[in-house]
Amino acid sequence: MTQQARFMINLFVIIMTYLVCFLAYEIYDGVAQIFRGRATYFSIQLPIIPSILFIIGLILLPVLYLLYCKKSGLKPFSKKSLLSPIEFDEQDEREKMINAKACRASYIAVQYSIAVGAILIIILYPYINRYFASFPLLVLFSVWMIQHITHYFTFRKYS
Amino acid sequence: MNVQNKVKELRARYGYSQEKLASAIGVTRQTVAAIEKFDYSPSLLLGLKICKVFNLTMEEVFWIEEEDEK
Repeated sequence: MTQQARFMINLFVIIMTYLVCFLAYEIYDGVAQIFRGRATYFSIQLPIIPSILFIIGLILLPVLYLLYCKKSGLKPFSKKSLLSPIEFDEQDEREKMINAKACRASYIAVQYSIAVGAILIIILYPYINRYFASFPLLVLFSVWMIQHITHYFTFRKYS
Repeated sequence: MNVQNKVKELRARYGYSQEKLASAIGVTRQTVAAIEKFDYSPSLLLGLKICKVFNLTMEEVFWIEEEDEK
């Protein structure tokens, strides 16, 4: 249960980080337009849906985190609750073995997903960069997410 | 080849709960359950710890079962 909650928080954090990067990219792009002399006045446009999702996520994240701490009996803002991924919670040799299998599976998954991601960027990016300039960011964060998902489901399979 | 054991039988005979045996050998209760179900083959160290708890030899607790014996 704790592991599942931790996994959900990890996914949530990945999505939030993606949204931060996506919005930062939009801001950076707006600033770049000014420096390039294409904009006559200072204005930055942010897409409405990602911005709203980010604000909702910003409100939900502390609530989820505190709920997780309460359920798992961890002290809020303690080092263990903030920093340790699931992998550091190994309690005995069996969990170490399962974790090794899960790490192996996620390592292989990342190998393949990076290759697929690179091919997707090479093929699609020239066509979609006008509409979705931060597409490589999406690929990058998808790889991160695939790593976590593979680890979690492999861990669950053997435990 | 599979490692078989009679941990469950011994635990019942000696009046140990899974929790008690787990804390005696320094693992989680889930690991004891996995050993009993033959889902997990313990390391040599863990096997010896289990034997020490029941005061038995390794052969009396663990043995190898060949695939074609099934």
